[in-house]
Amino acid sequence: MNQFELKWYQKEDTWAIIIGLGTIALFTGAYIFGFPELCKGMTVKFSSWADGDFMSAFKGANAAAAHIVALYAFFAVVFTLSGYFFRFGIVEFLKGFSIIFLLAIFVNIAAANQLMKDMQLEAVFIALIVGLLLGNTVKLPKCLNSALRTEFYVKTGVVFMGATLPLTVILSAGPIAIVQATIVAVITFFSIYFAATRIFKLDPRFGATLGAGGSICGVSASIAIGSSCRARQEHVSVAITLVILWAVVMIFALPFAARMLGMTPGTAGAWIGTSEFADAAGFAAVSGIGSEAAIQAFTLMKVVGRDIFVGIWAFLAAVLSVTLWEKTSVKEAERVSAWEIWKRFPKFVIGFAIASIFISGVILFLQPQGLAELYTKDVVGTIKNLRGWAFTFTFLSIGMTTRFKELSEVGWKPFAAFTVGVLVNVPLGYVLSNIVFADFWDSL
Amino acid sequence: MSNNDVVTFVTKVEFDSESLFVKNILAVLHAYDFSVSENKVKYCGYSASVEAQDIKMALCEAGVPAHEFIIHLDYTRKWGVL
Repeated sequence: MNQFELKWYQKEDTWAIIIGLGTIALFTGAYIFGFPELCKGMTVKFSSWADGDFMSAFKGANAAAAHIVALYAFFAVVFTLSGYFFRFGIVEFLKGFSIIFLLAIFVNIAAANQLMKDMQLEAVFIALIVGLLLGNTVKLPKCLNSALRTEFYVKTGVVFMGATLPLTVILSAGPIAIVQATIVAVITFFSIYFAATRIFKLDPRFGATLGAGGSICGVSASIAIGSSCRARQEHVSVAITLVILWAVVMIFALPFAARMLGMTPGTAGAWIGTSEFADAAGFAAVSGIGSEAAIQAFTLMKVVGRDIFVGIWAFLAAVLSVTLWEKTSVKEAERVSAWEIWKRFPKFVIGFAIASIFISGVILFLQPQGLAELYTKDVVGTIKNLRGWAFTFTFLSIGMTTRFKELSEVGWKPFAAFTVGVLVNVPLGYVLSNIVFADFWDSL
Repeated sequence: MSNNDVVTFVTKVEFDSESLFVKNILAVLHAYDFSVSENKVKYCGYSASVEAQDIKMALCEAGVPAHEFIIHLDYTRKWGVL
């Protein structure tokens, strides 16, 4: 369908917000009106197992069949409902989602194995490896096509994330995240842009699209800036291909390097948030650290520090495109609407913010009655578990949809220009996270 | 790797129905097979095959000043793109 004609209820962001906030409201209502079992019954977590005795994984109360069925029913209903509005066949979606859910169960059971734990092979890496192997070697059933929706799953996970991140943390860490992310984004963007246009003599629109992909928010930024500055289709495709290639490399390289360098979870999360190229890939990389502090630092850096500014970057690129790059005065140039800023704004971030405000408000309200701790354990704990599952679907989808032979051909010049950005971005992100703002990220 | 594009696009050209250049703009859009719709205040032309800068160049070559129209371009990732 023509993107200009999509209604609000046909967009992924809308449904990520509805699912995330609807779930939070439902669980909170159930808790307040005396039905905490509703949320507790949906928590699924497998016990540690070893020596081939995988049935031990089902020993704990949270691995009971009833919990697994309830979790499946919950996700199947909410995702299929949204699928109805996205206009893909709901029967096909349900079949495809069922396969992904079974794979997610397999991945989490495998990750609960003691040997995997000793090897620090988190569920995320198993999901990615399983997905990449299946996607690149086996012809997958057609029904999986509609269910492999990386962006939708990660957006839903980010809205759930808002519920697990107190508003006070967002308010205190947000400004630092914005400062650090802006420093890195501006320097990386101009490094790539100048390398592309001055050294490799590429078109400025192409340079801006490459720069956006390497500095702001990956594929989404390449699409937003490529659209606003009217880059050519082949140039946007090349920029996206480079983002994907480097993002997949960084999923494995950044957590590995963070461990080797002995970084704390907070600084590692901030580094990954600064230096990974795409949201979904970033959540995969930071999940490899295996710490809530790392995930919080990453989210602050990526979502608050980087994603929300993509609209402003797009607006500036649009103005540059019709004036400077066409050597036209502002008076004679084509009009550029400031509406561009809102149009490109990632709307799911609103759901993330509302979730944080709502949960923080409820906790504040329950504190005098001594119920806040129990609410955090039952409701926020369950939402955190759902978040983990949404991210597992994301990681499986990344793996199964990243088909290297289907990516665009990239010439050596764009590759070199983008790599200049990587060489600037990664060390700069490390210095800012681990030295300049280290105390701050450590305190999360 | 093959030379597949990983995005699709729609180019939209928007201009006032009161513009002095309505006829010129419509002629160019029809020549490039844009589908055109009209309401009380503006015309909108859509194409999924003509790139934004190409139609802008064609309009300028037809003598239409750039401030008489607005071009929107929207890329959408193809299935499965991260």
